[in-house]
Amino acid sequence: MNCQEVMEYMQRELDGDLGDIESAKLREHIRRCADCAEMYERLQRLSAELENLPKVTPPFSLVDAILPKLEEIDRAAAGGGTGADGQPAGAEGIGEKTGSAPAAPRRRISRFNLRVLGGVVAAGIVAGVFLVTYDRDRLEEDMIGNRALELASSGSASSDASGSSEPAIMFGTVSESFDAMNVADQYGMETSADAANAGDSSPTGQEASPTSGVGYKFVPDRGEAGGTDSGTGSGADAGTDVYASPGADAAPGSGTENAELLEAPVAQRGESGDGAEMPAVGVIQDIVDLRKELAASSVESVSPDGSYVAVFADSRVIIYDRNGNTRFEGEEREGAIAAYGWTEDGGFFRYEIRRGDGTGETYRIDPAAGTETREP
Amino acid sequence: MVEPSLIRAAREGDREALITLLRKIETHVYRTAYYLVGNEQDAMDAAQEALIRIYTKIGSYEEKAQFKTWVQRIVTNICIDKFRRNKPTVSIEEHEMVFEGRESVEGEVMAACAAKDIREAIDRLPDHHRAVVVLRYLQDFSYNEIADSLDLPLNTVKSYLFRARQQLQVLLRDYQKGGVRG
Repeated sequence: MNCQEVMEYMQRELDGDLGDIESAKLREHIRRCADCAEMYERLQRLSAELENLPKVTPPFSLVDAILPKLEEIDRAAAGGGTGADGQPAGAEGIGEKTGSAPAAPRRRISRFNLRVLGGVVAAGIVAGVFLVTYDRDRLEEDMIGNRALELASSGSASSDASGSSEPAIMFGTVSESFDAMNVADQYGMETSADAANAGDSSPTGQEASPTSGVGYKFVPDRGEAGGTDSGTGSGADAGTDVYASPGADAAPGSGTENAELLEAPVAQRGESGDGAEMPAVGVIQDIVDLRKELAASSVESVSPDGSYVAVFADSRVIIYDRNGNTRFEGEEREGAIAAYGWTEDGGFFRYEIRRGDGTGETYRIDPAAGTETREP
Repeated sequence: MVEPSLIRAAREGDREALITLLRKIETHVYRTAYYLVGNEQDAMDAAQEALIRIYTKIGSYEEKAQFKTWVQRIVTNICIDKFRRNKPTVSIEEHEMVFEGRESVEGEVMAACAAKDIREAIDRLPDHHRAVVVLRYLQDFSYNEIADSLDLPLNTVKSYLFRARQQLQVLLRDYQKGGVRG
């Protein structure tokens, strides 16, 4: 047994890790080796001093000191699950935002089909070629409908204090391409029956019978037109919605499940009276009646005779003819579109602008003449 | 030794039990922190942080591990990660050269009581060597418990402890040769 091996024995002995035989070997070596004996003595003394290090205690109770912090942690933990996201619905015209922010888009999505269908019909939006391509997965990925149509509606319409539902549609454009979407028409909008918007709009759309008003709000264009901010709120939803040129021939041939669901009632609403072509309308009307709500609407409105399509986007109204040519491009309007619709003869498109301060006006567009006049 | 029932209650969300548990371990937490970071103020900060972490992470404690090693792991991690930045330590491999070359300086530095000498010497150990020494002598941990606490292999724990003691022994020998202590 050499001195190096003995060194390990000495160390282990200090920790009580040696068996009897090993201890005997160690003692035997130390008896004959003065260097190792001295080393062992020093190590023992060191170990004893280490064991006698002061058993320090904190000068005051650490737990008492951190109790306020612990309570803070508890509060934060408790608040995290129940707190609202603090985003006033009225600010953006988006209802159903009482939950935590990340949950909101999903909830809106889940309500999408029924409310949009009901809302579209109830509002009398006629859109022969209107299709919404709505990709649920993509939307969820993009959270707030970036480059996809996001429709949301509130189920609180029937309990709305005003008795009328006031969907607000938010939309804007994003200068991104929608390559993967494979469609030309994409509209972003958000609707709600937000009470904050209620009470001041009257229906101007000829077919918006079930509702007293349809509120729309333009949202700032994130991608290309910062100047178009209409002041309707610039939350996370703003500017993320998408609309692309809405030519009448731009309907996507293949859509998502939602697009297909929307297709029949929306596209054929204009052919009212032709029951064969609008099998879903009655059902949807029932739903609307039952729920007494107008939940959503379109950002696109086709004239009764199908000659024109009015599109809200970029804080302005644009009217296209059936060939997709622009017939009229309105000025940017600050405020929300509170109501809109075609006159019965299809000759004019009227829309009402409402601002947060309660002021507003109504305009009438004559697409044939390419003019817009403000109504008294 | 903390009662398993108290630990279990704390894990299951009994806040009072958890607070009681923290009170029982706060001295142990502080003591390790004190010898790892080398001064009272940092030790207070580190120990409080460790207690808060224990408070928030108690749910992640698994009973298959010893509670005391779990606690010591938390406090040593905090001390080493946060409170030992930029502290000079000696290379354990070079200790002979380092300490012999600085014999007279060390002799002056080590002019106080033995405990202070050792504390200063401990403070100069590399982090994990120091942690092994602290757990061995201040927490009376076994090799295995130290290994669990520091997430080190058993042989590494032994190696660190042996090397640390050798270095400390050299330091004390040099100090004693300086004539201050006999």
